[in-house]
Amino acid sequence: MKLLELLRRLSVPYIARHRLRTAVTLFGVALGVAAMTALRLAYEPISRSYQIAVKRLAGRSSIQISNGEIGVPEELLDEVRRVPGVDVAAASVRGYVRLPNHPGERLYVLGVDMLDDQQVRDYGDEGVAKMSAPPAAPAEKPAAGSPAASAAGAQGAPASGSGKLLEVEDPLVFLAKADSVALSPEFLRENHLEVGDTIEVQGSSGRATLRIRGTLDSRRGVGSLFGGRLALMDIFAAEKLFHLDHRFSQIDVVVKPRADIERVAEAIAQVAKGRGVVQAQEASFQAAKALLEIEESNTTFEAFGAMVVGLYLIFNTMLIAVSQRRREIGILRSLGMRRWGVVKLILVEAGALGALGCAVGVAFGIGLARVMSLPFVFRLAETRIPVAPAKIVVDVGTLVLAAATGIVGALVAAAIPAYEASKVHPLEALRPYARPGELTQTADQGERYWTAAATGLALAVGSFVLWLEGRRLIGEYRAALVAMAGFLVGISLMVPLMVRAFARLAEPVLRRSGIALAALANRALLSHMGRTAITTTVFVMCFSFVTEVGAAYATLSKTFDRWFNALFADTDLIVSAGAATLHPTTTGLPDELAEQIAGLAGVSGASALRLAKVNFNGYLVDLVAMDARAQNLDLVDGDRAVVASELSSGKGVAIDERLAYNFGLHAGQVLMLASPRGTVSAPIVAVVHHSENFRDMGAVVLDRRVYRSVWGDRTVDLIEVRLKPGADAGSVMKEIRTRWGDKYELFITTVGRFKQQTRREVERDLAEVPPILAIALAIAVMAVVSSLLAAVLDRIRELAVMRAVGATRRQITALIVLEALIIGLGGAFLAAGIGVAFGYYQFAILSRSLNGVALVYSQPLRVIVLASAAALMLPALAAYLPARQVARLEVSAALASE
Amino acid sequence: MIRIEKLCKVYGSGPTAIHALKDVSLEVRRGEFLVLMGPSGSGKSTLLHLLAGLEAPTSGEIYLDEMPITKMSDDQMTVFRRRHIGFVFQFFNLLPTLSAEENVALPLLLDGQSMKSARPKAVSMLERVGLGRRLNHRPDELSGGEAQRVAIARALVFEPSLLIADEPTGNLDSRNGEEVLSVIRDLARQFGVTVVMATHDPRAAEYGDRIARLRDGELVEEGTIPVERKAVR
Repeated sequence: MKLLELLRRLSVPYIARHRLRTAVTLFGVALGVAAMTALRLAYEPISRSYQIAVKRLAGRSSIQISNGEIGVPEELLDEVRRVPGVDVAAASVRGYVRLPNHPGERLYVLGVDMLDDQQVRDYGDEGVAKMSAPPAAPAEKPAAGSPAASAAGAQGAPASGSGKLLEVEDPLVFLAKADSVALSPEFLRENHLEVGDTIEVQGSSGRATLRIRGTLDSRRGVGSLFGGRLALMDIFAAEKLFHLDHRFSQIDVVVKPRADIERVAEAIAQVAKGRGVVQAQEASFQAAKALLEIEESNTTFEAFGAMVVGLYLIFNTMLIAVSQRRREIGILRSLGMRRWGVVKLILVEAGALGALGCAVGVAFGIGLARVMSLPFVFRLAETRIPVAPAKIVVDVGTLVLAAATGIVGALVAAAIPAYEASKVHPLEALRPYARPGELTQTADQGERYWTAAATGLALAVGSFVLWLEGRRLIGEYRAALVAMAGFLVGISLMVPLMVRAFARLAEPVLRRSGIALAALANRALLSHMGRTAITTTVFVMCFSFVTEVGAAYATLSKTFDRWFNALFADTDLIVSAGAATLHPTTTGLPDELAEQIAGLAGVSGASALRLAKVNFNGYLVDLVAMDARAQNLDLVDGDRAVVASELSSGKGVAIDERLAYNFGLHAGQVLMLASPRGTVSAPIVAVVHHSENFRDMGAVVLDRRVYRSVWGDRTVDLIEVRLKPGADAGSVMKEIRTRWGDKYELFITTVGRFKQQTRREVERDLAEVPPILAIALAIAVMAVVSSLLAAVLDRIRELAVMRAVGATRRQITALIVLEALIIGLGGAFLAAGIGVAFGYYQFAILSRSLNGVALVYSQPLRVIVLASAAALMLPALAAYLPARQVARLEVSAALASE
Repeated sequence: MIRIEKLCKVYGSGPTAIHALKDVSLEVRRGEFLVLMGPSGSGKSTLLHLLAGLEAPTSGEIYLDEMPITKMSDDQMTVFRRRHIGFVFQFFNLLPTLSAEENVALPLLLDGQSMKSARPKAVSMLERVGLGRRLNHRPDELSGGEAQRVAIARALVFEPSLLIADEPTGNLDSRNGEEVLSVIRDLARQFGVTVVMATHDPRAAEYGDRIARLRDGELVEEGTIPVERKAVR
């Protein structure tokens, strides 16, 4: 009979009969395929989408001059225009505004000089000129750079064609009025607005009212960016809105044809003299790509975990299938099927299930890709350019990868069960009950466990060596990921020996304990050591992950506390604009507000903090400017008083350990920072501890007076208020709210609540952990239950004999539950040990080397105890129902199967 | 001691129903060795399973010492079986993970006794079947005859009133078969145990006191074994 015929007549009916098990197998395949598919689909479109966004925003320009949120001085624009090789230079002001009357909405403002900008960015075939409906005679020439100048220029521009991306009713009015804004039709529709209406926006300078005088095509050109949340307005109106004092956010440069971009960039840099960072557009894209790669590496590790779990599920279900079908396989063997034929049959069966699982996996993977891509889209939006969540496109390559993952994965996972099946002796069909040892090998497999443990130990040590030495070759991050994976696999290989040792140690204790059933259960586990070991390994890995997550929470929480408590040691109230305090997209406040608040009754003092993103070595880093707060710095080393005095006198700056790590900096070196006044040399006087956030590149800390005078920025992000002894916090908050609440849309809170809010931001990074934890626990329980099920199927006859010699149903149930309990007990011990070791390795050692941040490592005993209790109890609880079912077996039928 | 009244067992229903036992009535005296004979499918094993309470009859009643065992709940029957009925199987059915001593002690352990108190009884019983030196051997380290003797020791460790043996020599050569039958007979006499044994083998039947023949689920013949045909060893 042909293999496919066998598959149709034997395998298909079996699969159809065991729907639940087939579903578990399919789930296993789908899980692995989905992880790999999502990994491939999630990042590539974002990368593409980001590239498109960068290109659309950059337009024809190939060089940009910027300096994070600080921006570049206005006068630089004309100087740049005079640089040889520069064809066009156009400035822009960019930033977020909130909409007080439309809660939850925000707009990304692009303030441009319309005339200049249409030479750089795409506004349609006719550019801004098409806006002009009736041509009008030029009026008196306005001052250069003013909105009126833009309008005048627009009038003079040619008007032809039909591809309008920006449509306004009266272009003259649009250009002449500083409060004009163009928005997308989608935004207008969703917010019940129309052209001619006014809209309130909240910028750094307070509230402003803009009039909607045009619409932007959100399908093409610049208007297609930011998912239709783009507001196009005049550059000087935007400057005022963002409290930018004669500064632009960025200057984009179009070089002349055949001019060398690098040379022009160098020439501009010489002219800029550090007043802005000159970068080719490509460099900006590369920096984002690097960020993307880190995200991808992180997810690869998670996908690897999902693959392992998927493989385990397939392995286990196939093993059960082989156990159940020994008789059938024995018959096939007795009828002449060769061992290789049996292997092929099982493998083809697994391969077919793998192929079926692929279809489910791809569909699941597409959904997962969307979910995975969103957090990164948000991070890009916060730190770089907002991109719309990209459309997920399934290409042939992805399908091939999915098929390969599913089918090859299923084949790999089914290899051992297939090998087991091939060992079924024909006598199992002819003489269904044979004495143990007669048909199968029962040689002590201790040697194999020792070999596996030795290999595991070598792998774990090798991983450590790779981490130490390999980072030079493949980079710190990749080396750490590979090392962690190696460490994990190494430990997994050592688990079987540990389990065996545990069970052997437990045996005499259990025998002496008088609990006969426990001793029997332990003996049963020992006699099926291979399966017990694999199950316990999965179980241990899942529960050690739980312990490790506990360490992650506690460590990040303690690190956050160290950072927060040091920074806000004597603060009572926090005042900021908008609820998202210290968020990159918040709008700032004018610094005079701090002085005004300080003058209120009940307030002993108020100091301000500015958190700005600036360019440093091509990356955006945080510039933290603080008012007389240096004494609160959490120094890695050094004397606080000395550092505070050096900072306040402008003798230098402090950097945090993340910046020090990322750029190889240390105290004593000189930092070169771009500022509107040109390059600033800032000696590093100290290194301070970092917060728990590893996604940023680091921070430079300096005194706000120094910052204000050098960078000319009077905006602040947060005002810390200190109350007089006995003053009522509620009254002071009410007073601040009454006086300035509406004007600046203030968010006023106590430092305690602010801490909670900021902590929530920290915990947002761990938001994906609980679902993963739930999956890990479910897998651990599923592993134990399915393994016990396989064991029970193998021992159905033994159990029937026990019933025949006097074991009650309750005793049979108890026996199986006890087996689960023993796996749980051994697993709990091992998981606690491995979890603590892995957590320490990851957070106390690896984090410092990987992120440059010394975390306050903490492993709460409560988590270990709870995880151990769960590890002990969950398998027993989960095993109860199957055990009860097995206990109801028909004794005579099971015995008659001989 | 054993009274079987109009015992019926039907597997399945409708036209495909199998009548494994049809109105079988039988009595076995205390200490008697009854041999059940008959071809395959005659209902021997079914009758033994019903006697041991491993399954319930479709109709009819079984009395052990005037106790109607078919009225017992599963738990009651299990405990009753553990203490009062020993079972010897054709394929020994020893637990492969336990030693000979542990296999024999199993019913005592299941009854709540500790290994400490169960061990002396298990050892004593193994010595009685001639395996005092094989206490710690696992089933795969024993010969077929030895394994069956361990099974007999296990069946008798509670000193039951009834020993059921289903083809106990079916998987043994003739020498080992004879040894096993001798052990069953001798120990049964020592302990005053009633034995009901199913067999195909006429020579095995010679170890019994009485023969009952079954065919197609019906009791077709009943009679004592002439003294001259009884096995004398």
